[in-house]
Amino acid sequence: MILTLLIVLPLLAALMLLPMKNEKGIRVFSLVSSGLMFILSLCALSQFDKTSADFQLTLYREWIPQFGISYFVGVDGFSILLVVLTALLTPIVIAASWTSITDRVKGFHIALFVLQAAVIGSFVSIDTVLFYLFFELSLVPMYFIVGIWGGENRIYATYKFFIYTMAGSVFMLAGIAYLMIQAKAQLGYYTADVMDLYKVSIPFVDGEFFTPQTLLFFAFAVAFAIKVPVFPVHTWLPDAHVQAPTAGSVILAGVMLKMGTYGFLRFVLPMFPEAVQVWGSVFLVLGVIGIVYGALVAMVQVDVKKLVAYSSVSHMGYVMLGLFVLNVYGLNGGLFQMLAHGVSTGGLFLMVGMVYERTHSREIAKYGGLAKAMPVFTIFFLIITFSSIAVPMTNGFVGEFLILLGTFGFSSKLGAIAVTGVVLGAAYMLWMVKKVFFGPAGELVDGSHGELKDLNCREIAALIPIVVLIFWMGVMPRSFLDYSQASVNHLVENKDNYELKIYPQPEAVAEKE
Amino acid sequence: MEAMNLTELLVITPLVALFIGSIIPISVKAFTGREMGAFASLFSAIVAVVAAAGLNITFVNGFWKLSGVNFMTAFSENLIVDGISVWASYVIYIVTGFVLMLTYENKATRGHQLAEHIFLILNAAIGMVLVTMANNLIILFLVIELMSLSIYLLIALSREGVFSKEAALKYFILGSVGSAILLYGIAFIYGSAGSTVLQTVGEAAATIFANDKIFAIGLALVIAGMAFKVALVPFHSWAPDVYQGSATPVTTFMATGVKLASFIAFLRLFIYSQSLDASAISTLLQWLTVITMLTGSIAALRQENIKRMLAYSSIAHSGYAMMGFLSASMGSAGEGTTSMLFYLLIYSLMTIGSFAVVSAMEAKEDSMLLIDDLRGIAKRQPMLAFTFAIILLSLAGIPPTVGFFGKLYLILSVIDQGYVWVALMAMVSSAVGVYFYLRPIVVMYMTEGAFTQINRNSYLTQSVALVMALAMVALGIMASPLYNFVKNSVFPSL
Repeated sequence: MILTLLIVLPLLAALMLLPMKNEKGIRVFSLVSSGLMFILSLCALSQFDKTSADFQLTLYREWIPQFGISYFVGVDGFSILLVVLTALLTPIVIAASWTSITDRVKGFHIALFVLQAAVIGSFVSIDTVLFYLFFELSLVPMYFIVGIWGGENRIYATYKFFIYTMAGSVFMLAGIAYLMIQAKAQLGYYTADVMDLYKVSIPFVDGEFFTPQTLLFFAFAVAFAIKVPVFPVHTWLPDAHVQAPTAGSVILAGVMLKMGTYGFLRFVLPMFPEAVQVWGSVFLVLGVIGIVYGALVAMVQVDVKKLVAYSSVSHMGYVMLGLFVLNVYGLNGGLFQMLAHGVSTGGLFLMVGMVYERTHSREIAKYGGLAKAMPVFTIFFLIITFSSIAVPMTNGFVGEFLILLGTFGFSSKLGAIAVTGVVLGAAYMLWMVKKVFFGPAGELVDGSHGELKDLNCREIAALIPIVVLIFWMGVMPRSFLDYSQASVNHLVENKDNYELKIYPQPEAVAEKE
Repeated sequence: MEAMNLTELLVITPLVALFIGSIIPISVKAFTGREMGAFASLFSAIVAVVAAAGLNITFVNGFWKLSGVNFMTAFSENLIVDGISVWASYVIYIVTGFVLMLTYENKATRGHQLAEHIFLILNAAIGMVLVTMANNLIILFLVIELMSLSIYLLIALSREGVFSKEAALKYFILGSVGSAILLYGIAFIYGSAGSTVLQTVGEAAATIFANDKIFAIGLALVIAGMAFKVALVPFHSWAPDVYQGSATPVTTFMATGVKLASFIAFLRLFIYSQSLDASAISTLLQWLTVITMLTGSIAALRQENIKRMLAYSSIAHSGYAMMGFLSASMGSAGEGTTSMLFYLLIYSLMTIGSFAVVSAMEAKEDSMLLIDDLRGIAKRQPMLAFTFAIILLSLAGIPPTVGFFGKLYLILSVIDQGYVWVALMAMVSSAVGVYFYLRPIVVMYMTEGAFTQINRNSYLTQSVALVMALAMVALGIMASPLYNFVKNSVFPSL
């Protein structure tokens, strides 16, 4: 029930915004209600049993019975923290957009709430059709956020973003339909319930491409790879990020990209084990290419936001690597890195947005000496930078370390190449920090365009949760890893024969049968 | 031939009501020489439609339910009353009611010929209802002509622009060719099957088909003729020109009522011949379906005129509905037919909504609304822009609008029949569709401009559009109950 509330309440908030007129009132209402939803998500977290790998807090309602499609939600160790992260980022971006969004304020907040509902919905769906529905629905508000409040080249970016993702998910829908037919043939009834679909065995022939399991593997993997995004289908991401308003970038990097990696974890790895064994190496290699390529391209960017966007490609490459090595270290690291990247890259986009609001430029060459003009800003930026380049004691370190540990356990060659990404990451980030914050004052900083004000209380308040999380996750990773441990172990131990159950919860079981 | 009995008369009472409603405004005009007040004309016509729907509930639907049989025939088996016809009639009455409202406010139809418009619209509606009830090939041909002739006149009636004259002539000539092909096919079928009653032909179809090439030719010609009526590629070339040239309410009527009725007739031709195991026919229908979807979607990409774009989109939607037709005619009468009827219903609502928006934006009689003309509408007419955006998202099939569920049911029904490649092509076509449906949204919300074109006097039209937009979301949430409702009302025995 609590998960359903997390989907319904944002939509309700969006509805309640409709008649409001006062812009200030809209902002306050949105901030307060999204804050309450975050607290609600913490309640869900507190009810979650860390020792179980099963679906918990489930709710089942019949929906389209003749095809076995239902409203069926629940969380397990893979999804619970992503739900909380989503609920956390929404109030942060609302606070961060307080002054930067002045046009159509109401529409902006409505779009944010719909987006939140869709993203949480896709994380908690147990029914695959329901998942697809939320997966697609999340495109619409993001499309408007980029398209209406974005930069000057926003229309091109929105089209590219929408068409790429849509093209990918078409394959997934075809795959879901095929799985449902297989379920009918093998289990005797139509079903879209992912727990039933896990039981369906899909024919696989090694060494041939045109076998059902391989085709399904790629149908799902392509859809999620575009979302992640994996090299070479990442090209929509820099465009979307650069054109998106700050809030859009934060949500996009923070949680929407995770819908892709989460999809791999929920559908691709457990459902197509043989295909993953054979064809998973494709994604391992693409992941490593993404790490190095993203870092190299980030090095030559003149635009801060584009640099952060390419760093995202690089970081998500690590996540892919962690997922596809399929061992305990890799998967734990991958999951941890998903959260860590959400926090730190989200934070970087927030800060880039804050400075952009003051100077209206993101060109690195025009900055310099910002540390003198905005000392508080600089401190925050440095902390988040350290997290992004995986300095020990920050969250980035834990994730990348675990992933590299897993990768070396799988193949030392891949590990060796992936490690270079860490060095390259430090290189481009520190190079950027040096150019922007130190050295002689650039033309935007030297006062010729008016004085630069340092961060105000509102902005600091938006950044504090991020900084707290960076250190908390860096110093005490166990308190986060514990949540995913059971699910990860379950997947690693049963990777050829993965099944999930509903967490013993009398009424939910009764409802489903 | 037995004498007419009461039941038979009751079956056509809704049509009598429509006819009476249709002649009121035009009689007043003929006898007094003056137009009846515009609102009074609209009101009498709407009353007629509501009365017809009410009679449909009480007599047609009621008798059919009471009789407890799957279908009953009337007028020497020339008309048939079954779940499909009853359900289709409801949709036709709904469509007719909304088209009348659009006609009342549209600049091109409001003029001094409103009485004629109402007369022709209601008579076309009578034709449509009869098309869904026709149980005999000859009757089918006659009532299709009744429907088509009314539409030809409606198109030509607009006083303005050369486009409507061109459209009328084009539709008339090509429509006549289509009817001729249909009639020719009927002649072949009669020649080989020895009957024009659909059930008789359908039951004998399997054996005749195997032995008699003439029957196959007849069937192919009938398919071609019907394909013309519902605008399947390659018999679609008339549609964009005619849709663009006609007054918007008339276009709406063509895109909804005519298409719905023709689809039902098309379905009726095949639903009795379930035993017909003709892989050639199945292949033909699969290709018609796929080519229609893809051509419609791809051609729509390049359109600048909104009505033309919607015309191509309507062709693509014909292709989607064909998926339901395909599975209905090839074995899955229950789910296939239901998914098709469900889709035709929501397609009709979406189409009414989208053309209502266009109609509300036509400030002049001969407005040719381009997509670029929508610039700035989101600021000046936020409600209208929002309405149009929701309807376009539903047309594109984006969840949670009902357009998504319509496609979902269709895709599941063809997959159920094993035509997986058709389902795949439908998904590709939908993905292409997203692009052109999003374009107006981009122009409305993301570009600046001074939107000037609005029909100042179009509250009713705008309300119709808004109702449709809300229906898209509401029905999307209630998709499954609605689907079951359609299924139960069409096939109470299943």
